[in-house]
Amino acid sequence: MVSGFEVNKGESSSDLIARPRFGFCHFTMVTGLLGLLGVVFMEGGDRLQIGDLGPKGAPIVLGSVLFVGGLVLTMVERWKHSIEKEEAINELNDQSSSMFSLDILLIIGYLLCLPLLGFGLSTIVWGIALLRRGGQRWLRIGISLGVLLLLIYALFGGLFKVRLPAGVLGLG
Amino acid sequence: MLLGIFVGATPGLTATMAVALIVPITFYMPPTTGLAMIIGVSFTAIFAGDIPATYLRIPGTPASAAATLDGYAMSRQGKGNFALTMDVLCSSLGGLVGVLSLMFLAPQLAEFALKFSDYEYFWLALFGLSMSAVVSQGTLIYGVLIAVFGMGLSTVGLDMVTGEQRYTMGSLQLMDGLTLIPVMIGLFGMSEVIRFFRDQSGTDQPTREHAQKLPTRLPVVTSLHELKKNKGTLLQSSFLGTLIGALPGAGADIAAWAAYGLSKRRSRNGAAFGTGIAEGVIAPTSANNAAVAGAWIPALVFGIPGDAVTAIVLGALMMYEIRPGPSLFTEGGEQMQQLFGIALATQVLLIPCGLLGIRLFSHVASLNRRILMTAVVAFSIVGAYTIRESLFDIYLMFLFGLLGAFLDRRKVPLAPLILGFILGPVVEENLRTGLIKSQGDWIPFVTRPISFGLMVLLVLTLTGPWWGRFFRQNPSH
Repeated sequence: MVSGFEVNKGESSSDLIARPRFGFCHFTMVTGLLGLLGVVFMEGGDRLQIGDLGPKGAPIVLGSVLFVGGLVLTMVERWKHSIEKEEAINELNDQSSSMFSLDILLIIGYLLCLPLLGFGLSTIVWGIALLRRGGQRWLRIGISLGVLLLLIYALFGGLFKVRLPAGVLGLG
Repeated sequence: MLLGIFVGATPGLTATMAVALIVPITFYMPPTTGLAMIIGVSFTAIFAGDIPATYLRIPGTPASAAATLDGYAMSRQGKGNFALTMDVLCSSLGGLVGVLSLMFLAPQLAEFALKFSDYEYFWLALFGLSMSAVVSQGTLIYGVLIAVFGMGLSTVGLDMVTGEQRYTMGSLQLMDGLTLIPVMIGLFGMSEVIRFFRDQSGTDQPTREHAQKLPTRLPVVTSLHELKKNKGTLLQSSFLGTLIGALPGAGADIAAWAAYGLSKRRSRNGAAFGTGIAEGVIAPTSANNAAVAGAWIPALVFGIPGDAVTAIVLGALMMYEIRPGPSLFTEGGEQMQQLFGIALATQVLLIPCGLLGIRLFSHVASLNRRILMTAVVAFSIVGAYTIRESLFDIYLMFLFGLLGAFLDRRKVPLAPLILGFILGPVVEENLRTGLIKSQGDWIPFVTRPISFGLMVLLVLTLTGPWWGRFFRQNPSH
């Protein structure tokens, strides 16, 4: 199977995403939206008095700057650059996105397991899943996770007396 | 000192935490040994924070965030050891400049620092923010917008003057605001992990690039040669770091960013900053350690700590019956000599201890990348959790990791965001307390001499490129 990255010989995935204008329209739109949300959710704009900015002052000013900046950048980018090119590159990246999504889902699963299984057990389960997916051998996985957990528990639990998430089982 | 390196190099454990941990241990020691230990830890922890910042792009302490720019870029080119050897030498020399300034200029510098009020701090913080335009690789507007976004994030929580809630959505955790450490670990560390997974697209790449390119010896001579070539940057950053450190409330993190920005602006290689050049490593690393020494100036002369680390050290000094104040310089001759002697010896000993730390850590960096990233995620989680022992901070760290990866993919610089996040509250607090003091009058912000000077400096910094272009195009002017 020939992946999108292999087609572009001499051009790694990071080179592809390094194209200066790639995705910038999305960024500027998000920026504008964030600014708008910042202002909308910050009720009580009447408190914005020039002599005493009040608690609402900074959020409203910053949100407005983001909103106006985002709008200006969106228009400038839209004018300068066609979005079609971005979509073409997006399509190219989609081929590897399922593998990437799985890695991210594994991390999300790890974080969700933390309050239930505790830090130690969650790290073991997640570590095995992640490293096996990467083709590591069982022995190497065992040694790596063992050393990692030993180091973390000795350093944080033993030396700095930090109570790591213990989970409902209380295993830590 | 080795404990300082250990704690500083661990993401989530700050220099403040290192000093706080060491103080109870020193109760059982003779005063000189105890003091040496406290001073040693406070200086080494800041340097050690640069080690994971360089190898893994995870700043060990907030003062090391600026080291992630060129240090990490050099590490990716297989020159991580070179960057860190320069780093340890700069930290030592920067600290030396700071301590010598403390010895000879302390009363004068402290007097100057005490003239700063809310108006001056407002301009100083704005000046620091203007660095966001300098440190960002893209155009000015992108840097400014992302810094504004960072400032916006810093407004989450309780209002600092009235205690009103802002963007908390009723969440108890958000009332304390977004904590710096999880935000920083997420933006720099977690985003790097996500980038790794994206670039590897699920396959294991047993890269041992670090190991292959590691020389058998650390390049001390080459680093010294490089420092000699850039001695101007080194001295400029060290003095700037000392000066900023001497201002109460402006810590080593602001000093590092300001030095980086100033060096980039003044350098002939300004455009190459961020791509992994020596000057980009020298500037922040010499400034952050110089700032630690600088923070001692108001602490020893007036008993006003420059930052959180110095506040703890000040408490420890009082425990040893050293009373800070002007009389310490006139009457406490022996105590002062002891203090200065320990501080100077620490700077010298930082080099062998630092080199040992680099050597040990470089083995970690040469591990299989997937195993290393597993460890980075685990350490990031523990680092974020340690601050408040809250799972919320872990989730926050992950969210900022996703945000960092998104921005990184769009080639949006992350440095201005963290700069806005750190300086946002400083700007807002000083602006509002200044306005309250002046009963809503804006005039004191521009009429006080230092305020006016800082304002002019800010305008010159922002308009510098245009002036440069103007004079180049019109040589007759």
